[in-house]
Parts: sequence; structure tokens; C-alpha cells
Amino acid sequence: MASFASLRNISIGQYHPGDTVFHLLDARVKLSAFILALVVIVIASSYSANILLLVLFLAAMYAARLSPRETLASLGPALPLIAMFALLQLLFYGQGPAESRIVLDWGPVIISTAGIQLVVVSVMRLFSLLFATALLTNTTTVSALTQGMEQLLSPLSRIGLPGHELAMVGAIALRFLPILGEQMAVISQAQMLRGVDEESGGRWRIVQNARRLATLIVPLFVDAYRRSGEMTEAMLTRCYRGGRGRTHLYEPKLSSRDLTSSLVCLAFSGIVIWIAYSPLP
Amino acid sequence: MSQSAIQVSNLQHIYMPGTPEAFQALYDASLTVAQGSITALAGESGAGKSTLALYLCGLLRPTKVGQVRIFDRDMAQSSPGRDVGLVFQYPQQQLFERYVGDDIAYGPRKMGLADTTLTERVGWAMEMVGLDFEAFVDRETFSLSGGEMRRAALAGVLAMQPHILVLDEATTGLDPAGQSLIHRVMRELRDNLGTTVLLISNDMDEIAELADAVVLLHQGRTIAEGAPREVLAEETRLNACSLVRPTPMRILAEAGRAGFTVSQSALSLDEAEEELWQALHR
Amino acid sequence: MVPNQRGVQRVVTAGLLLAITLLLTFTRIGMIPVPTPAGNATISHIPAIIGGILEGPLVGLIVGMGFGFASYATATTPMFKDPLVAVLPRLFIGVASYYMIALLYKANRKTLQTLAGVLWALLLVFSWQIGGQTLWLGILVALVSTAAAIAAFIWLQKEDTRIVALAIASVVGSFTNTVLVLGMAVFRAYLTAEVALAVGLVHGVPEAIISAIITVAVVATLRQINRKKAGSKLVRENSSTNQ
Repeated sequence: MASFASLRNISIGQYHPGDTVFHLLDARVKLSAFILALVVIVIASSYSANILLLVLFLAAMYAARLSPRETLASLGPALPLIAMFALLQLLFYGQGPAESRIVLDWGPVIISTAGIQLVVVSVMRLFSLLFATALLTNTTTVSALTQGMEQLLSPLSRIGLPGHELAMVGAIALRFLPILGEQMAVISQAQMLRGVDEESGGRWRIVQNARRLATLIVPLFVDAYRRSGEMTEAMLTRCYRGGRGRTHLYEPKLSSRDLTSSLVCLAFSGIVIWIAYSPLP
Repeated sequence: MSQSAIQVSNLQHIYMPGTPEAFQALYDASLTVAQGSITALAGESGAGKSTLALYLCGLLRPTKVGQVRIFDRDMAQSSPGRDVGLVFQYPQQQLFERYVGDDIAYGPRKMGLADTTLTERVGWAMEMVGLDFEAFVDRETFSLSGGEMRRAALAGVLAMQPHILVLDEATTGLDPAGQSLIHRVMRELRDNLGTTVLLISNDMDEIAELADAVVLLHQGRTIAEGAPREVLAEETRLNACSLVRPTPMRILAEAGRAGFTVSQSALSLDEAEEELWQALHR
Repeated sequence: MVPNQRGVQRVVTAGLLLAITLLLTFTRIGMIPVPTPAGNATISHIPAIIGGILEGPLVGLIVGMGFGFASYATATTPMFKDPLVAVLPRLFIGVASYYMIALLYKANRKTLQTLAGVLWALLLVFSWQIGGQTLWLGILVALVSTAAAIAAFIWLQKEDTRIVALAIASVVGSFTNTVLVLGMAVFRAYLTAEVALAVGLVHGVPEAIISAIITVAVVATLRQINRKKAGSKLVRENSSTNQ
């Protein structure tokens, strides 16, 4: 029963209203900071740098009045899977680089310091990524987010690339994600009521699995196409003409708060990267 | 009509518990549906009607608070059964096979019917909903019109011959002919097969015309349960659920306001006419 | 007519296909259990294929990029936490499908048959090469490709050529994903060439078959192409006695 219930729970970017610094920042600043944070998270692979990252993100979550526990709760059903992968990685990673010590050697199972570091750091990275995403999407409305994306992409239009259209594609995708999820939940409910076994046919029954998936996905595509036709007409009747000459109800201006925050972000990123490349473990 | 087919008591449901988006749809829902009756479930949008329907067909299972019993079977322990058939509001979400015939045959096929027995069953279901077997059996499901899709979806559920049929706003947005077709199907099932029907609807005229009993749901709580003549007459309670009284009752209420002494419990236009006729000749 | 209609339609469709991609990836519905050590085959690349086929290379590229980012974001292995493996190869899925369909949609039966023959010959050469290193694998590849070639020829005799073209385009799109991702994984030293080849065969073939089934079903429905076998599978007394 978990399979269709989880479809309704997709919440990429649920806005939590508030008036903290994070809520008031310009979407462009938050988006750029988010991208910067992703780069830093991917680069940092030492314990010290990741601990610092987690501390910084927890402080930011506190400042934005977001609950880290709730953010981590969104992992929910995926947790056993993540734990299993972590365990497999730990047991079968092998020795790794030469400076790594072997902690346990038991037949094919070799636990090394490098293996432990990889597992611990990937879990910390995952938490950092979740916090970074929550800080962006829980404090920014979808409309502000897409407008920010569009503004960041607008230099592309100057060299002939469709910046506005790209942002529009993203906005439509985010808008329809929960609707299509709901739709898929209903299709799968209807199938269950008429006798489809919820459990798939097992690993070896490729054809059965494919057929079951096809009955679930083909209606989804056909319905999505019907929706796209309707939405195109709706946009054209309301005089949507693409990016050129389109104005916004609010034209956000960068304030001194935005500038200070950007500088703070850059400074913290510099420190984390410096620690990541320092000889600290 | 002595034994109850559905018995729900003090049911609670929270969507996405433990997350920021947690939302309680049911607080204290109870209802009893007599076997072989048509019972209507009404309430404002968001009252929890559809959530309740998911419990009845076993797609949701009662956990801590509340109980759902179908034919005296506790649904906390049972898997989605074939006792209860559910027709959703949007039929295009229920059709998933390529051809209409295969889609309707899907359920019975899973129940073990095959060959000519299966074909007969599909033919019976299609006849019930007024789809011509030869004309529609090989049509592609996605090429059907909205009304045809709805009928095909209904046929797919009927083909399994469930003991209980739950129709979740299955007549909303249909043209009058389509509505009366579904009404006829409901009556035939009740009278000929003894099927118990739960009709989820906000169309008070429809409920007045068809239902043997009415349950009112308001913000996740059952606020009234009983015979249509009593429940549908309570104007303030209906208004609280963003509902109104059925047309015959409203006509008589207008007549009452105009100075006639009339009883306001008519469920059909015929009854209202009779009442007015007598008032005029009193 | 508003001159921009086609463009708006493309933007909206790309958005919806992207939504399906994200849905399939984030809920892990797009992961089908298959018998390999890696465990799952993906079908999340199918929206990119359909986007390329129905709306052109740009839509295919955008949806493919979305798939890449989604797979990067949900990855639990170091291999797919590398954007060069997770994102870059995915850009080409829809583009490859688009060029295949542009080439083949109007092709006649003869051209398609010749093409299938050429592909079969290439696969035989490939299996000869593998057979030089690992004999049993080479023989297996040769047998499988011969069986596939025979099946394809029989199928080509009967099916609408547009359906065949669609199937080929989606198979090509699917293999673009398999080959480029695994190639990049080898290039970035996550996998050895032999392991990549084995994973490619065991993952790539079912993925290609599944994406062909789903793409053909979706596009044939949307474009109203009549399939060879029309009609439900119900057994009817009169029709079976008449024939």
C-alpha cells in the first residue's frame, strides 16, 4: 500500500510562510547561493569540512525557523534503502587508497578507514543537500523561484538561447508534478481495485513487469498530452507571447541585505573549501 | 434491509502524518449502510467523502482510531476485497487497457473467468451501461468521448459484480441522459441483484429521488444520518455543509412563505405538486 | 492562427514531459527490477525519447537534461553522483531518437529491411570481436542478435512501417543512454570495460525493449496510427467459428 500513498507525498518545494531573513532575500540570491552550496558539498570530502557544513546549515535552518527533523522526515520511506546501500558500501568498498588503514579483514569483507569515511561523508552530504534544498524551497514561493530562474537565465536570451522558455518549462513541470502524481495514484488505485497485485512480478519476469508498467504509464502520457493541448490554448487565449516584452507584477530589486548575504555566503564557501583542502582529516 | 453491509464507526484519517503538510481529513466519521439499499453520502467539498470511500474498498486501512466493517468483516485485517467496487469521478483515470473490451474484462479475468463465460460477463456489463457490445468492444479506450469513458469505467467495475458499489461523484458533470442512465443502473442493481449502493453526491435532487438513507459529512465528522425525508429537510444543517434542500422542498418552502399551509417534506416533484394542489383546494 | 502556437505547445509539452520524468525518478517507479547485480533498469528516459520523437530535438534535449539532474539528485552510488556520468550523456537521448525518426518515419519496408540487415551484420562483427576475448559471450551475442534479426524480419512483413520506425527510434534512444552512460563510467574509471559491457547487455536490452513497447503504445495512440492486431483479446463464439 506504500506505493500509491507515497505518490501523493511528493513535495518538492513546499513553501512555509514566514518573515525571516531567508524569506525576504531575493530569489536570485538564494538560487545562486544554492548552486554554490551544491558545488561546495560535492567538493568537500573530509570529515572536518562536512561537519562544518552541517553546522552552518543547521544554524541557517534555525535562522529560517525551519525544523531539521521535519526536513529529514521527508526521507521517510527511503531510509531503509539508504541504510542498506551505506552498509553494502561499507562492507565491500575494499581498501581504497594506499594511506587507508584496514580495520577489519574477514574474507571478502574488508572494512577500511577509507570505506568508513566514504560512508560517513556520503550520509553527511545527503543531509547537507536536504537542508540546502529545504532552505531554498521552503522559504521561496514557486512564482518567485521561477521568476528568479528566468532572471538568472535572461543573459542567455541575449546570445539567442531561450532563457524565458527554459524557465517556463521548469515552472510548468513543478506545477504539474503533484497533479500527475495524484493522477498516477488514482490509476494505480483503480488497478488495485480490479485485481492487479501490488507486488511486481519479481526480478526475472521482465515482460510482466513491463506490461504492468505500460498500463500505468501509457494513460499518464496520453493524459499529459491532452492537458498540454488545453494549456496551450489557455495560454494563447490569455495572450501569452513568450518572453519578449513580458513584464512582471513585481520587479524585484536587489537590496543591501541581498548584497551582504551574498558576501557572507561566499565567505563561508571559501572557508569550507579551504578546510576541505587543508590537511585536517 | 435488516443486516448492515457497511459499518463505519469513529473513523479518523490524517494524510502525511508527521510532516509539515499533515492534514486531517476525517475526525469522527461513522455510518451504517443497510444491505440492499441505496445510501447517499453528502457533504461539502473537502468534507472527507472520498477518503471515506478509500477506506470502504480497502485501499486505506483503519489503524488506531475507528473501525470499518464490511459484511461483519473487520477491514483492519483484510486486503482490498472484491466485495466493494469503486467508481471514481474521473473515468479517464480508470481506463488503462488499450481496448474497451479488454479493460472491462480486466477485473473478471483476474477473478478467474475465461473464454465465453468472460465474454458473456463483459457483454452483460456493457448492456447494463448501454454500450453496444459489437460497436465498442474493439474501440480504443482513449478514443472514447467523456460520457462513453464514464460508462466504460462503470462497466469495468460492474463486470466484477461487487456486492457493494461505491459511486464517487459518478454522475457529476454528466448530461441529463447520462445521469438517468446511471440512476437506472443503480436501481436495477439494487432490485435485481440485491447490490448495496453507496452514492457519494452533492446533487440533492438526485439523492431525494434515489436514496433510501442519507448520511451527512461535515469537516470530517458525521453530523446526520437517517431517512432522506428528515435529513434533507434540515435547512440550517445542510447550509452549514454548503448544501441546499432538494428542489421539491424548496418549492414548498416558497409556497409556505407565500402564505400557504403546506408540509415541506416532499422528495419528488409529484409529491410537491400533490401537496400544493391540496393546499390550493383547502 | 497565432504564429507562436507551435512554440507555446512545445514549451508546455516539454514541461509536462519533464514533470513525468521527475515523477518517475523521484518516486523510483521508473526503476524496474531486472536480474543484474546493479538491480534496476530505468524507464525514466522514456519521456525524453517521446519528447524527441514528437516535439523535436530541443525538447528531447531539455527533458533529457531534467532526467540527468533528477538521476544525479537521487543517486546513491558515487558513479551517478558525477554529473559527467549522470547528466551529460542524457542530453543526447531525445536528440538521437529525433534524428532516427526524422530519417525513418517516411521510409518504406525495403529500406527498413536493409537497415535491419546492416545492423545484424554489424552485431555479428561485434560478436566476432568479443568471441576473440571471451568465447561464450561472443557466441551468446551472435545467437541473440540472429534471433532478434529473424524476429525483426517477420515483424517487418506485417507491421505498419511507421510503427517499426518508432520502435527503432526508441531503441536507438535507449541504447544512446546505455552506451554513453557506461562509456562515460569507464572513461571516468568507475567501471572496467568488461563489467560495463556485461551491465550494458543485461540492462540495455530490457530497457530498449520496454522503452520501445511504451513509446510505440503512446505515440500510436496520440498519432492515431492503426496497429496490426486491432481488437480486444476476448474470445467470441461466432467470430471463432466463422474464421
